[in-house]
Amino acid sequence: MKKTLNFIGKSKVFFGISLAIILIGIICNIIFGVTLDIQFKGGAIISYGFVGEVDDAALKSAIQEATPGNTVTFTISQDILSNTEENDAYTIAIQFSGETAISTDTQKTITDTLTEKFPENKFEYQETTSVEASMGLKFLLKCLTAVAIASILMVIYVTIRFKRIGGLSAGVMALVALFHDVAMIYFMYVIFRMPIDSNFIAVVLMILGYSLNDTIVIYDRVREERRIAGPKEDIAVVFNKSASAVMSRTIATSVTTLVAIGTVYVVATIFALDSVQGFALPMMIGVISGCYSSLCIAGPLWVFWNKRKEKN
Amino acid sequence: MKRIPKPVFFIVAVLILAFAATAVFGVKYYDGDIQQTSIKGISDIRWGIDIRGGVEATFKPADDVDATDEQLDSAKSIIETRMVSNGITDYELYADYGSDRIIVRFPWKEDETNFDPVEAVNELAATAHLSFRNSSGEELMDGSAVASARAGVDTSQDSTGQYMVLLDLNDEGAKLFASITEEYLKQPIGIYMDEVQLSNPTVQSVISDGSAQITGNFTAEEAVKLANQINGGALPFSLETASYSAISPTLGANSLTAMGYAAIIAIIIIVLFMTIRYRVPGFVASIALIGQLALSIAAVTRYFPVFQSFTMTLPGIAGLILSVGMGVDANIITAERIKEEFRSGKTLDTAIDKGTKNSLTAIIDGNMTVVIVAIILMLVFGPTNILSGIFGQSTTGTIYAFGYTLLIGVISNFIMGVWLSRVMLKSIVGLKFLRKKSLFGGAGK
Repeated sequence: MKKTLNFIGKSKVFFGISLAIILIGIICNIIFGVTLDIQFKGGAIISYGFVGEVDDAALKSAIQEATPGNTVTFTISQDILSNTEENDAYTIAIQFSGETAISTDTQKTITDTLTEKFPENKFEYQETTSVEASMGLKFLLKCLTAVAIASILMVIYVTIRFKRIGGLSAGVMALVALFHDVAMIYFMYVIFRMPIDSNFIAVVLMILGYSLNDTIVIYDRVREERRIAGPKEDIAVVFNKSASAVMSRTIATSVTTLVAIGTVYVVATIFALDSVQGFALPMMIGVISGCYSSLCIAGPLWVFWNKRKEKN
Repeated sequence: MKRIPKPVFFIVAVLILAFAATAVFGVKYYDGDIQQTSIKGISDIRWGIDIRGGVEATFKPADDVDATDEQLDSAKSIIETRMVSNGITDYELYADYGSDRIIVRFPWKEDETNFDPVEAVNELAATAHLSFRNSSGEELMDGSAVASARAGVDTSQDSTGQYMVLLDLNDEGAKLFASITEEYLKQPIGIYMDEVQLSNPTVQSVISDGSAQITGNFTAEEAVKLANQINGGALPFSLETASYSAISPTLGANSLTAMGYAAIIAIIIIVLFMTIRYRVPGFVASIALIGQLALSIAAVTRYFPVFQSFTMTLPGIAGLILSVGMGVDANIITAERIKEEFRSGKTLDTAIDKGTKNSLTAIIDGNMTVVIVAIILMLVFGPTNILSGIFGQSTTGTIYAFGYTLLIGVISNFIMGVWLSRVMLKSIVGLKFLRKKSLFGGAGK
């Protein structure tokens, strides 16, 4: 027989760990704030590629001069794939914050200014993204509403399917675990200073499905053990037994998923694919959090809820 | 346990692997020097603008015409129709009523290597002035008379099933057209988009009910194209490109190769892990997993013609990863369950029977919740756009892709990872040399 692990007994430690991470996340959020991507926030980014060194201050004043009345910020990053032997290649992303998308005239003025004032840097127009603020916000709200609707429906499904083990309590606690995971991914974005974009939404959605699956596998086992043990048995004991039984499955699945996503992450790092890296990393955090929250958060909370109900 | 005949395993496994090979590599042959594709493979996947780059453009009414919301909507729907008829499904299209702009984003088109973004944008914006002219070029009627146009097949008695364009005129247009057709009976009337002649049909009879047919050796494609152009021309203003940009590929072709390597390495690791840890059930699961992936890929590449042309985006890849995770999980749950049954002293056949049975509810419940997520996302961000009443038409195709790959992946999981995996397992267990508990996860003797 396999050993039965005492999840319920250590639940205070688990809750403590989660609360501590959430606290750190909130503090970071207050200090760093969170950046929304242009997709959600609105505004515009124009990117140019250039080679060699350029004086930041001269660049800033040139751009500012070309676009009076706009608040302009820019970031320069090295473009490893386009480096030549003589010169390093860079990409500059010029960001305009504002309610409206920028006009083509503005864009042309900037392009002309840069090519005229810095001819040896060979500024080359790469791309423009511009979104009106109100459209971006609507899109964000729509994403969040979709997540909310999906969550509610999932809770209803769990409530119906797991009627025998408390129904609503199972559904609500599964939801708490989901919030926990979304919070972890969110703080990951905050701590690594990554802007919230539609990939964030995709990662959140993936983890919602993944984590809920973990929780359901445990609930399914609890449902079965409860049927065998009968209603008299202490639910803490039933839960410990069930969670221990599915432990090897949970670990095997999580390790497999982690290794698979980890491979994607490593390859993305080697090839310097920022967008994929920024996508795989939060996903890995989410997988760990999803596995942990199902065993150590949703389960114990469900046990406490039902114990309290029994007392009353 | 009802054992399944031994050869079934080999038949199913070979079919799955053959299917996977065709789904991944496609089936191509050379007709002279030209490569023909009869089954599409991975190389035919259309990648989204977040992966491969694409085009973004803003359109506005020419000459600063103040368009009504309805007109802007119809201009938008025309662009939408054109995108769809060009096989571009993964686009983002915003109408900004405040400033009368239509913003569109779409990825490189399928099958096009030398894609000219300027031409593509102009093609979309070609919603110019539509006119009906007599043979000397005098304008008789403009696009505002047209209610709608659509392609159809001539079903009249002595016809040969020719394609044609059905033109519906509005009330005013019908009156005008009746007098035009009377005046120019048996004479040609040119249909012009700006100065470009689209068609030059001859008036066959007086048309007084406002519903005309344009015939003339059209192919289905030509008929649809003409109908689209006429619809686009029915707007009282033309669209002008206010700005456009070609978004440079964020990953590029090399990066896709890199991601291909990552996928292959990940699959090899999973197969090794499953086979080493779970022996025979793990090996069977690996075949099923390859089948599941192949089925998902097939749904994305249009292996089966019933599927729409689809664009793969980063969220789409996330959906695929999740569904593969669910597929691996289904098999791990089953294999672990079989192990447990051994531990409680069951025989080989009973353990497999009980193990597969007892693990089924967990797998179904887990997958059903994921199906709920997938369907909600497809409804919200897909063509039905159920929340658009509240949030406006800010559709984004990229999240729809997540729902699509996830739903397809979960369905594939039920077919391959649950059903066929079990069929194979119950069949392979009949092979004498494999009939050892240790090969199915039980403790050695």
